[in-house]
Amino acid sequence: MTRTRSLALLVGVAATTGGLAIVAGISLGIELTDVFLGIVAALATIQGLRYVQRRRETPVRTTTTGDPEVRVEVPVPGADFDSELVAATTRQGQWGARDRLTDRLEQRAVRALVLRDGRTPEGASALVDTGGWTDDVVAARFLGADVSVPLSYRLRLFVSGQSRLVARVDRTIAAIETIGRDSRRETAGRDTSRTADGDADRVGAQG
Amino acid sequence: MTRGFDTERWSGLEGLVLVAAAAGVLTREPAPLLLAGLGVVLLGYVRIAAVPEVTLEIERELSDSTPDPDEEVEVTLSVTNESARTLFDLRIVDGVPPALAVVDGPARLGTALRPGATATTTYTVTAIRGEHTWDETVVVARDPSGAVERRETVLTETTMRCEPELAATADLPLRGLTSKYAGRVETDVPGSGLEFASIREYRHGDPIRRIDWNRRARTGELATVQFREERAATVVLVVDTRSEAHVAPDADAETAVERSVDAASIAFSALLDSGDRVGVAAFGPNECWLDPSSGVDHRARARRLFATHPAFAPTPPDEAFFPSIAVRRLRRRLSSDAQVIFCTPLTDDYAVSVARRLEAYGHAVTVVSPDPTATGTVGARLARLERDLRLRDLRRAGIRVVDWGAEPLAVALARAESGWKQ
Repeated sequence: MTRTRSLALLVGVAATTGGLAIVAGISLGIELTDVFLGIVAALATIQGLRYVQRRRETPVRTTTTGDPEVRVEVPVPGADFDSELVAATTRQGQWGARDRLTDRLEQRAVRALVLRDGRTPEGASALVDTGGWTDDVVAARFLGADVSVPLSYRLRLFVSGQSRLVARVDRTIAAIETIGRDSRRETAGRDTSRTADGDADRVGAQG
Repeated sequence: MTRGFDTERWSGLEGLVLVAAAAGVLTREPAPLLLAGLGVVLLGYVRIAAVPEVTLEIERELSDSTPDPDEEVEVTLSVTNESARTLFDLRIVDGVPPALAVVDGPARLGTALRPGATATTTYTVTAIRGEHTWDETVVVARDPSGAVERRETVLTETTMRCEPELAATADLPLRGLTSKYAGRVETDVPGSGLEFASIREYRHGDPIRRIDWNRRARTGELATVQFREERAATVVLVVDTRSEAHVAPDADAETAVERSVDAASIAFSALLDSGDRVGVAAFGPNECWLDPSSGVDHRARARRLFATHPAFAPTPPDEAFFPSIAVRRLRRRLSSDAQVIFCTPLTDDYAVSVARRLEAYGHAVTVVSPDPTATGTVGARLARLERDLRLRDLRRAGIRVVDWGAEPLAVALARAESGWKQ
């Protein structure tokens, strides 16, 4: 017990004893005037409010028992990527998470070009660097190609309120999915300094 | 009587008492002062409140302790107060095994119990493959005001064992690697069998029924017909039980490990029926190995193994796993003529490298891959794409792959087999 608390306890005991003495009719030289009672009431109110405030800051403690009725939960494949995507859209750890996302998607694009499109690993890497691997300029630019994204796409995204990063990742995955299936595949030597006009943000849609 | 721990439920009551007393003093009315007096009494009770020692007898009864898969099992939990004091507020939460889901009624009970009284609750779980042991039952006791609480656990040993019959619902085609014993795998070795292989010059001692009499009639020469010899294979079913394989497309779906074990048990039965020697191994932190063999006893051993071995439990393992050591150990155990059927969801690149390494060491590998991917989120779509690339990678390396989606395994096998023949 600290010294302050001991002192407060002493004062409290003395005050209570004094109060009981007055109730019993023993005069201690204190008149129960309105001012005195007002001071006592004010002190009690202040102390009472302090207790109430402390209660507001104290959480109720209880045993938590979990949900034994539910089967143990296992992750859905890809949940790690979703968590990384959330991390990349928040302020903390934004850049590290973003780099990891881009690296992973780039590796998958290269691997898809090798396995689905029959390219060499070097050729596939070069294709991803130039953006010639896809018709989608948004996906190509996301993986590092020097192509401009059409204004219409940016405007649409702005109006929709969707996160830019999520939308670009989504487009990139969709573009990787089409590798080896798209008959309008670009060739390695294609000019990559592409811009889109009008509403067409897919280069393939322009023709 | 022990104190337990304060719940802080009545914390702040002192403040209200003081405010009421202040109001009484200020207004000189007796009502607020009386209210403050009641508050003081309650505060006094809260200060001395305690929970009696909890001495409970808990019994758990299953309607069937060895059910079939998907059978509903009723669990009856009886709680008796063995102490001499009344428990006014008792909450009991049963330790349902983590792999089981409760389908009817909560596995918990809230009651007050006089000394010697018994309370009962019933809930229903759906049985799935495996040996399921109930965890400790959690007991939470409070005093009537809820000011103090204590938590106890009571262990009542209960085990439910669900051992599915090994049924050969799909026939698994094997690759060419065989043992010296006669069986059903067609080899390129000419000899006795069913499928025509070649005709060679007659040698003294060749069986008379294998002489090509048409050729004899045409040319007058004696020639012997040779068939592709059929031999038995030695197959080891390796199930990927790493934590990476404990995935599912949604909360209610079977996990990839459960489906892999299902595939392995179907393949085990089918291969044993066709005279092959079959072994079982787990590729995960819990070591499991059953030497390749055949016979009725071996089938019974495998059935028990698939159902009860901790390596094949439907819950993710907690232990650390060193995959390269596990691969080396597996390789040492595999005989040179052993084929491998690797059941894995292919959720990471390491599973691919294991299959490729075993293939490179001469064990003809077939991968049976239950598909655990979904399409609900961006990450799920990427995971599906990555798995597709791993399947292609394996096929490119000459490894047979069975991509098993939501359809029955037999359908996936038939589809895969038609692809292998092209």
